[in-house]
Amino acid sequence: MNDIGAAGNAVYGRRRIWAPLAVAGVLLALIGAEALFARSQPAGVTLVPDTVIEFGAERDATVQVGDGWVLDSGASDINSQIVLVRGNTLVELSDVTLPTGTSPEEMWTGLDRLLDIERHHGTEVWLDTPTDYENAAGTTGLQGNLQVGTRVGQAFVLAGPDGAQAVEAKVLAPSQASDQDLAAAAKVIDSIAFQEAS
Amino acid sequence: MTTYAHTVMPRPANISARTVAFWMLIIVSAFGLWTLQSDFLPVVIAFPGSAALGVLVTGFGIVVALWIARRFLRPVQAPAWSGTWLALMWGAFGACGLALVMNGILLSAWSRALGPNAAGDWAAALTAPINEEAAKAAGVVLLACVSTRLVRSTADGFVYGALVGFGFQIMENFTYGLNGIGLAGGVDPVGATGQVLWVRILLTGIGSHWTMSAVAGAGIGYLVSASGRSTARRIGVAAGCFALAMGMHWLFNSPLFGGIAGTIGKPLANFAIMVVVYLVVRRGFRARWAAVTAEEVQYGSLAPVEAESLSKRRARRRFLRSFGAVRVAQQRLQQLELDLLEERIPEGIDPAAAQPWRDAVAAARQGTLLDRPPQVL
Repeated sequence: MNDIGAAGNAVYGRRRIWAPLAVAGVLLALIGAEALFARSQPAGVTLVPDTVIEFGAERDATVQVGDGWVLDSGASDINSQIVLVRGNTLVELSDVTLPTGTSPEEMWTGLDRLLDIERHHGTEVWLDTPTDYENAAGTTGLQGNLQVGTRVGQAFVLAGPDGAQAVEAKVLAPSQASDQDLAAAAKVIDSIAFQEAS
Repeated sequence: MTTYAHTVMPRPANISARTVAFWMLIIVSAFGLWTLQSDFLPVVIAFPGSAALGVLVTGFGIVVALWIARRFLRPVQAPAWSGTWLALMWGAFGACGLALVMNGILLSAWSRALGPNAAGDWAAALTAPINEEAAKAAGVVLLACVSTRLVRSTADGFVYGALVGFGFQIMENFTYGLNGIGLAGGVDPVGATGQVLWVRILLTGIGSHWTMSAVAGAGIGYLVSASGRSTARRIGVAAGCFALAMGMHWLFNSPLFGGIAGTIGKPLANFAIMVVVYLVVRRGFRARWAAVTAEEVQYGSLAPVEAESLSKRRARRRFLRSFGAVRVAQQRLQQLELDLLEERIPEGIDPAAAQPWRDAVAAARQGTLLDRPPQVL
């Protein structure tokens, strides 16, 4: 078939109008199909009490959740960050890889600098001076009060065994959050641990 | 009164601003730029050192991309500058911005559908080959719609596909460099950005987006230019090239063949596939080039000695050097001869339609060629 003729390529005449419109149609259809697929999936995964989640690039950071927690699958990427929700309380855990020998104070400064991104987005963010912290699993680090917009809570940096890895945790909830939810969040933070490399 | 017979150099426009495709390229790229700045401008302001490093590497990346695409990826001559910039713009802003929106939807959907562990391994491989290859390929199709002169051969589709891929890759490197700060906990942000860029440029850059979209672009070039081939064959080749590009992307993002060997080996495999496609494309282009060159020698438009030197850059330079002081005039004549042969590349075009270019070559030999029509007083 010769539909090209003297034009040099096949997209000439009326095709120069409908071909780009067809491209736009295909892209919009793709976006629509993906949005429908996303909408058909559950918003989160309800976790069985005492579930242990391994996360991070090497999956060597662990956290154990109690009753009533939902994993926000859409906001979580098991390789770097998981987001747990209970009522209106949110726990965000990020696995970070650091230069070897980074001190907890440097990690805290780094966390504060990362919060600058939220500040430049126009959100009011306030991070308190940290104090030493050790959780029930024996993982040590720093903790301090945190406010992001209207949500208040605490931030933690928990150092890995070699100072080259850490888990940064944020617990945020509205000021009227229930004591049970906040206590459950504290238990989640208490369970964060690092597995030894096999 | 003496009357001089002049020939005016034919200068058809490579792109037409009065097309739907041109304005789609501009508007979607503007949307993409807005999307990118919404996400990344606060990071740039918060971490200016990392942003400066990213901008520096981006500038270097553009220079390298232009050098590779314009020097090596199209046989005989570099693509038009207008098409080059449009392709880079679409890749960096249009395709990247679209992919940012689409990936946000689909990655989240896979996380919910597959569960966190399987999604952690497979979500990227099930998302990027669909969204990113579609967004990049759309740019090559739009370039083919901007005028009938920009994509007139499989080789044109290949080189514009590569340029779209380069644009995408350069912008993605910039954004991944900024994302690296968060993965390093905000500690030593410039070092974190540098480490991401080092891996993405030196280890995986050789077989990343530009190789995939060059392959997809070759198929689009064939679809819109392979005169005399059946529609089914042209669609089949285009679909096959697009599927191959998606497969290359899938392999690149999949957790299969992990470790350092996989990190280096998978891009090399993509590069090898791109080279094979390039050799096939180049062979077809050179065969057509040789055929039209022989015809123009027969018509008397080209001297055999000129024709021999035209198809290779080095041979053309060597030929020009032999002219010494009158090299500038000969260089102009050589470019006109190249323009004539490029005009003959599409197979469906009647050889008589290239007569203005033949006239321009003849006039340049006689010294009566004008760049523009003479003003009438």
